[in-house]
Amino acid sequence: MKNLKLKAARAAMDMSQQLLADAVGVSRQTINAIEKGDYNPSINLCIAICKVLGKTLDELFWE
Amino acid sequence: MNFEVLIPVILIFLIIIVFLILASKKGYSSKDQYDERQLMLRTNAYKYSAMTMLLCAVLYFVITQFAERPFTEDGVSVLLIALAGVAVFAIYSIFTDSFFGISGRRNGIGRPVVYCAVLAVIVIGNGIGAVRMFQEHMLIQNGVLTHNVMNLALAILFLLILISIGVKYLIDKREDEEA
Repeated sequence: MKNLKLKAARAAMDMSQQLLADAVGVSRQTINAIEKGDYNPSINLCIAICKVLGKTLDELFWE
Repeated sequence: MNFEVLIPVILIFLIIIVFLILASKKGYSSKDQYDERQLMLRTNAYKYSAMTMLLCAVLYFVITQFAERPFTEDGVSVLLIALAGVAVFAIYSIFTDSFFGISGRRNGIGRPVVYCAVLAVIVIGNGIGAVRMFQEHMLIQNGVLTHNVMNLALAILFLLILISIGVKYLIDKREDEEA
């Protein structure tokens, strides 16, 4: 399932996928895969993304 | 002293030394080379590569049981099977973006442009060797595939990798424009 909340949060901060990927230490394709729902990130990666985007786990990853 | 063997060996050592010197420079880190998704996909790549080699080995064994005589020189079939496994690993890794890693894509000696240039040199070198072997009828002798086929096999392998990198680059570029 697509993660539109993540995409929206990233867009709200005017961040590209590459910028977000660099900030959390993964490749751009990994961020793309998470947003498309093709990959389920580990809890550590989820937390790192939330910290960068200033959101909680519930706000980004809870359905 | 056989210079025909010595010179390529010396060249290979020089290339390895240059590679190690470049790798020791700042900016190249092997610690965080692959992220978690890439590591998972590389595991799959190893799996598929091993399955390919196993399948090729079984196929070769079955074929040789029905053949009147071996159709490759000793060791050639093993090397070709290994190259098939390498091809599967490399192409799968490239198309799942787990080949170059995180930091290697944009800086350091892992830059795709530098990598492709090296691959192109290898393809051209082996391609020239393969053409020469073909012209001198040294690929197949007495109905047996000789070790001289390695030039051709390596040229095809690295050409496939080069093409895969190119295709993946175009796919990524299109995704970058859409993102």
